[in-house]
Amino acid sequence: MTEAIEVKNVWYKYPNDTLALDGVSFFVNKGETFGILGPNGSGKTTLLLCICGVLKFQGEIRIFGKKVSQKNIYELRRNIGFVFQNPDDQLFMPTVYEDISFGPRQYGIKENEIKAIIEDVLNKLGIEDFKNKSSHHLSFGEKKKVCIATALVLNPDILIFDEPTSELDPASRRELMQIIISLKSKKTILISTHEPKIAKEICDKIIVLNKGKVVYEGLPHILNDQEFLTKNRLA
Amino acid sequence: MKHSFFDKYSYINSPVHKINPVLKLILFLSIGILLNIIPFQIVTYILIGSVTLVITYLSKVPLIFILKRTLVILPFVFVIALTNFFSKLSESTVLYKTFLNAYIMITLLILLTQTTKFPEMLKSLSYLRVPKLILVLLSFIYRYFFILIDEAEKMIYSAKIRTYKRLKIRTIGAMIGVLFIKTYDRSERVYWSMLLRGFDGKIK
Ligand SMILES: Nc1ncnc2c1ncn2[C@@H]1O[C@H](COP(=O)(O)OP(=O)(O)O)[C@@H](O)[C@H]1O
Ligand SMILES: [Mg+2]
Repeated sequence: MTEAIEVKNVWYKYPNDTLALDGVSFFVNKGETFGILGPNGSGKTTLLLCICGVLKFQGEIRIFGKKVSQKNIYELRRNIGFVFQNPDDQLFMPTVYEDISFGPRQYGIKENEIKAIIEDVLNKLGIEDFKNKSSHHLSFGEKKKVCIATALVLNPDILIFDEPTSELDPASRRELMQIIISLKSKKTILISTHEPKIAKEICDKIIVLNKGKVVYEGLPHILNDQEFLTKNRLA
Repeated sequence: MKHSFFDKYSYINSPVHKINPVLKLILFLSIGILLNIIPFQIVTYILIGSVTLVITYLSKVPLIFILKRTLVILPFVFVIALTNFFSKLSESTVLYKTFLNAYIMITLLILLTQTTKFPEMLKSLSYLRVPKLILVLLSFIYRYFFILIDEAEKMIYSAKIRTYKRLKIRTIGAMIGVLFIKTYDRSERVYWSMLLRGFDGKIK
């Protein structure tokens, strides 16, 4: 099996001296759906941002064998789709179409090609009607789907979801889980969450973070252990 | 949805809404230039004033809404007209002209923005070769203006829930400070979102 993501002894300290990642190591195999569990503030978002080279960490991260560095990050990111926890951070253009086309335009894809790809992605997610709408005219769940579209549009091999189900109502939540499950067989997926239920439902493998340290790496069955959950503030 | 400062009426339907936005924009700019080069004549303003009224009627945007909007800006217009008057030290027509020109242009600008969807306006600006950077900045302002209002509103609600008195100036000051920090934090995350979608310092 090839390794899609390899994280070796990664440290990250915010400018205000918060040590958010304290020597984190793990690897994700190609095609796996991998869960990053941890309570609020355990470092999940920070870790995901390091993997994409957005935050300048100490240590080593490899994506399909290539070391993440400032030199190759632009190319590496093309193969990663990222879905933020809060859609309002992710969607910054005046219309849904403009937002989804931002990525492909940055990578120099031609307008007519972009148009075809976007049609396809919107169709798959069942949100064709949103195309010309402004994001602030959409509900939270609808915005979330648009975020997924912005991540899928470049057809990346790796998809990253930061707390995908937080703040969603039960129906949108089910829809979103269905979308992730439908992508499972085609992509390497990284999901951060503080909900053991989500991880048990879709993850092949997990790590558990607590205060910036990996306290568990392995199969999700550990999440049935009530004592473990309480100890790591997951229940 | 609930916030509709600059596009409250831009999603309704009327003959004015249907006019090509590029055309509207060009008309708007030409009127602005014309008003400034032709000599001051009261007839011109009666004419333009009536035309504006007709357009307003056709556009189905309530006249009272437009008047209220212009009222907010009136003091600024007045100050500009006054400075213009004093700096040129000329006859009173300069004062009238600047004031009337500014007032008409603002009324027309409100009409323009209320009858054109913002994304379409951006497209028209891009068609008229306005630099991309400016367009992207305008997009951001449009997108995040609503969010800022939302956040401010939430803060005011939660402060009101916790107190039965009127908010103190100091509290309001502190709230504005928090809003600034929140906005700064958000701008950082939006920047990350841009990076993650292939931004490398240049908008393509
Ligand atoms: N921009 C920031 N500046 C300073 N500290 C931060 C910042 N973002 C997060 N932190 C801190 O880093 C730690 C990890 O945060 P985060 O990665 O957001 O956790 P999670 O996503 O698991 O909730 C927390 O202690 C948090 O307070
Ligand atoms: Mg987080």
